[in-house]
Amino acid sequence: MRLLCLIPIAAALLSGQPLEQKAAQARSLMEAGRFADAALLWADLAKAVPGNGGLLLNQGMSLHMSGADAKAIPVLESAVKLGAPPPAFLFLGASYLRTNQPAKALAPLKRFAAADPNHVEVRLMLVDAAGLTNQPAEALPHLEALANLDPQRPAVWYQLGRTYEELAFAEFTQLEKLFPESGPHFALLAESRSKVSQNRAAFFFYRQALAKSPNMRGLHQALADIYRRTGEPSWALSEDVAEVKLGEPNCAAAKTPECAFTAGNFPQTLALARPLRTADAFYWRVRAYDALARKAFGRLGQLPESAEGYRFQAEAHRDANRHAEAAAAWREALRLAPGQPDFARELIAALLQTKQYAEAQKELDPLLAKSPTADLNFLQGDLFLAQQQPDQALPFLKKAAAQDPRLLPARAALARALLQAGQPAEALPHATAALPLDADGSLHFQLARAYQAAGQTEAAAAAMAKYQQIQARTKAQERVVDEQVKITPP
Amino acid sequence: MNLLFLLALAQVRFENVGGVDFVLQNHATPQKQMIETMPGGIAIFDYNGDGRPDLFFANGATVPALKKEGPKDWNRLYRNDGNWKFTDVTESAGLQGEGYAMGAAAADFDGDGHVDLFVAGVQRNLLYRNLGNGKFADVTAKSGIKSSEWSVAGGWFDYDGDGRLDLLVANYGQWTKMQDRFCGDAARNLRIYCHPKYFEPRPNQLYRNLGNGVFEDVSVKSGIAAHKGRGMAVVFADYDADGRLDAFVTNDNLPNFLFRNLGNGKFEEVALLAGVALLDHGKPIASMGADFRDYDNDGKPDIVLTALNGETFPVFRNQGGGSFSDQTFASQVARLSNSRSGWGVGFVDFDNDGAKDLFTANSHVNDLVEKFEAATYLQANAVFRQTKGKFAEVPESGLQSTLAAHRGAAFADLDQDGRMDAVVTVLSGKVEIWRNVSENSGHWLQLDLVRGLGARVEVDGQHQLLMSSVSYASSVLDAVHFGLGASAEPRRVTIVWPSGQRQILNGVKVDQRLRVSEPAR
Repeated sequence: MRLLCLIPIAAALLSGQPLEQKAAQARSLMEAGRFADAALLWADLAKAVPGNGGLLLNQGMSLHMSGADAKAIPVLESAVKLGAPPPAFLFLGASYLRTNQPAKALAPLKRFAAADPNHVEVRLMLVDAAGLTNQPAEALPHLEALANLDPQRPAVWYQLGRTYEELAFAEFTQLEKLFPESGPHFALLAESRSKVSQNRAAFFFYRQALAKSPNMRGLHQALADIYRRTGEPSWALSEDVAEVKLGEPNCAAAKTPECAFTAGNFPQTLALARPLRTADAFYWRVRAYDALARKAFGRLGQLPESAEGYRFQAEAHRDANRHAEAAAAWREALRLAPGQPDFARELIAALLQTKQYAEAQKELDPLLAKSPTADLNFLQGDLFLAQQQPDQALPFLKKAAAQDPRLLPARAALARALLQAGQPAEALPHATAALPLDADGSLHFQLARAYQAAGQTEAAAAAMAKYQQIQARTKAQERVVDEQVKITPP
Repeated sequence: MNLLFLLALAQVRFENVGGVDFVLQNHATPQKQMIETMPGGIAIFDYNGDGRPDLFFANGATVPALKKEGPKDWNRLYRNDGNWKFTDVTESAGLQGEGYAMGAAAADFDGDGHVDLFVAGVQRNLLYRNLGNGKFADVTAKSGIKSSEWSVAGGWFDYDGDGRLDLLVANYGQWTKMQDRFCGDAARNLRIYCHPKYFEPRPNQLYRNLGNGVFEDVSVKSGIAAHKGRGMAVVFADYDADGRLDAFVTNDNLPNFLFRNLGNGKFEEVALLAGVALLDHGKPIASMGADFRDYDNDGKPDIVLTALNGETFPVFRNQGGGSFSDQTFASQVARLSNSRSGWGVGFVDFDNDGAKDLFTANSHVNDLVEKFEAATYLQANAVFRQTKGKFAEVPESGLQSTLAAHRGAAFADLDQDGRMDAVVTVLSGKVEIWRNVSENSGHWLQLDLVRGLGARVEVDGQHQLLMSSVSYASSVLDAVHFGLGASAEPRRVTIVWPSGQRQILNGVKVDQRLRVSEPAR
C-alpha cells in the first residue's frame, strides 16, 4: 500500500517544535516498520492537537499496519468524522475486513474508491468484502473496473465470470419465484438441461415453454436440434419451419433486450431489461449475465497459464463428473499456487472420486498435519471408509464429530463406520443426528440396521418403515418424471 | 509330515488347462448396448450319463438383430471325455440355440433320469428336453415358458413340494432394439454402457411344472411378479429352516429380493427385513452373481454376491430367526473385494480343509472404466481362502496373471480327482478351464445323488444343499462335494431327500465319489 506518502499530509498540520520533532520521529519509526511504536507517538500528537483528523489517520494507519485493527477502527472512525483525507476510509475499510466485519468495510472502501477510482487494491478489498457478504452485485462494478485496470490479472477474470454466474442465478431464482409457470422460466430450465446433454428433460421443458410462450424465438430451433441429436431429423424439419415463421425481431422499431442480446451487446441487454419486472426481462438478464460470464472466462483462457485458469478448468471438469481431468487440473493449479488449501482439498475430493486413494492420502497428510480441522478429519475418515477400513476411519471420524457435531456428513460416516466395525449401539446417536441429510432413505436404513443389531427391534421397524416411505415417494416422483419426459413427434 | 500339518500349508492353486475352444461372442457395438456386456452363463452337468460333468456355454448373437450369424454364435456343449479332453457335441446334441443367450440352468425337469436344460436369453428363452440319446429336443413352445423379457438366469427348484421341478427366471430391465441413449462423456466421445437405471425394472417369472412337459406361469398368483427388479442371478436355499426352498435374486442397482416360500404356493419378499436387500449403508449396489451356501458350517445358509469395485462383494451371514448380518467387513471380504468387480462367484472348498473358500470371476462392466477412475476393465479371477469365517487372499493361486473380461463361473470336479475345478467365461475370449492343482489338500467325499436336486446332505457338521443354480447366470448339477480335512476316518453321511426321507450312511470311506439313490420306502 502507498502508506508512507500519506504521512506528510498529517505532519504538515503541526506547528511547534516538540510536536514537529515527535511527528518526524513517528515518520521515521514508520519508515523503519515500527508501526506500534509510531502509533504511540501519533496518539500523543492527536491528544496534543485534538480534532485533527490527519493525526488520527496516521495513528489509525499505524495501528492497522501493526496489526492492531480492533484498536485502529475507533481511531479511524473518529478520523473520518473529522474529515480526514480519503486514505482514512481505505484504512478503516481494511481494518474492518481484517477483523471479519466485511459488511462494515464496504461503505468506507467505497468512499475511497470514489475518490481514487483507479486504486487497484481498494477494488480488490471491495470485491473481498462483497464476496464475504454474499453480495455479487456489490462486487461487480469493482471487478469490471479491475478488469480494465489490470486486465492481465487472472483472478479478476475468474471472479468476474463467477460473479456474473451468481447474478444470473439470482435473476433466475427471482424468475422462478415470481413467474414459475412462464415460458421464459421453462426455456431456461430447458437450456440448462440441454447444456448437459439431458435431451429428454430439455425436450420436456422446451415443450412447456412453447405452450406458455408460443411466439418466443429459439424454442422451435432448440427442439429441432434435440430431434437431430436423438436421431429424428425428419421431425426436426417442421420445427425448423415453425422457427422461420416467427421471423426476426424488428429491432429498427424498438430497442429491446432481445435486440441488444442478439447484437451481442450484453451490457445494453442488462440496461434495457433492468427496469422491468416481467418474465421476459428476467429471462434476458439471466442470458446476458450468462453470456458475460462466458466472455470473462474466455478472457481468462487467453491469459498465460495461471492457477485461476486451471481452477476454472478443474471446476468445469468436476461439474461434468470428469473427475480424472479435474484432478489433473487441480494439480496444475497447485503447481502455480503451492499449498493453496482449497485447491488441495478439491484435488483430494477428485482423487477420492476416481478411487486414487494412495494419491489422495499423499495430498491429505500435510493438510491434516498443519490443520487438523473437523473437515479434514472427516475427509481422512471418509478416505479410510472408501478403502473399507472402518477401524482406521473411526478415530478421525470421532474427532471430526467431536470438533463439530453439526458436521452431519461426518456423523453419518461415523455411524456407518461404527456399524461396520460391529458397534451398533455406538452408531445410534450419530445415525440419528445425520437423518436431516437423508434424501434417499439410506440413512434411515442404516439407522434401522443399527437398531436391529443393537436389539431394539421396534425402533428398527419404525426406521425401516421410514426408509420404505422415502423410497416409495422417490420412486413415485421418478415415475411421474419418466412419464412426462419422453421425446415425441412435433 | 502328517496331513494335519500339510493342510496348514495347503496352497490353493489353479492351472488354466484350456482344452475347450469356446469363445463367448458378445458382439460389442459402438452403441454400447447393455446386453453385450452381460452374457456368459455356464451349465455343468452330465448330459450323457457317463458320470463325467460336461460343459454347456450360452453364447451371444448379433446386436440389435439378436440373430445367431453362424456356428461361432452357437451355444456350445462339450462332452467331457476324461483326462481333460472335451469334444464339441453341440450339433449332434441339437443345442446350437437361437437368439442372444445369457444364462443356463440344468435339471431333470421331467424326471426321466436325463438332465434337461433351460437357456435364458434376450427376449427369447429356450427349454431343451434331454432325449437320453445324446440329443436334445427344443420343447420351448410346448412347455409354455416363452417369454419376451430380457432374462439373464434361471433356476430349478420344487417350490410347491409336488416332486416336480419348477423354474424361476430372473429378468433384467426393459431393453428394446431401438434403445440408443448416449451415456458417457460426450466431450471426449467416450461412450459407455448406460447406468442400469435407464432400464426399467421387470418382474421375475415363476413357472410351475404341471408334470406333462407343460408349465404354468404362476408369476402373478405366487406373488413373484409383484416385485420388479433388475435380476441377474437366482439361487436357492431354505434360509429359515422351515423345510421349504426360498429364492434369492440379485438386482442390479436395486435392493435384492429374498422370496420366502410360504408353502401355500405363494412367496413373500422379505429381503429388507432379513437384511439381504442392501448392505448396511443402505445404498443399492450393482449386485450380480450370488451363492447361497453355509460358508461357516453353522448349518444355516449364508449369501455372498458380487458387485463393482468400491462396492465390495457383500457377505450376509445367516443368524437364524430369519435374519442375516452384514459380515462383509468382519469376514475380510470388504477389503479383499473393494478394488475388484465380480460376476461369477461361489463358496467352494478348494483345498478340502472343510472350510468353503470364495472364488470370484472378475472384470468391470465398463470397458472404458480406466478413462474415468483408477480401476481396470480386465481383471484376474480371485480365490480367497477361508479360515474360521475370515477370508484371505491366496497370493500364488495361478489366477493372477490372466486378466480378462470374466463373466460366468461354475465349479465342479471335472477330472474327478477330489479337487473342485472352475470354469470361467470371457467376453470375446476363450473360456478358461481352471484345473485345481492344490497341493496338500485334505480328504474329500463326493455324493452323486440320483434325482436328488433339493436334497440336503450333512457330513462332519458341514451342510450342503444340492441345487443347480450358482454364481452368475450359471448352473452346476453334479455330485455334492465335501472337503474333510486331515482325517481319513470313514464318515457318517446324512441325506434328507426332497421327499423328506432321511437316509443315514455310516462308515463311508473318504476320497471317493459315491453314487447314492433314495431308498425305496
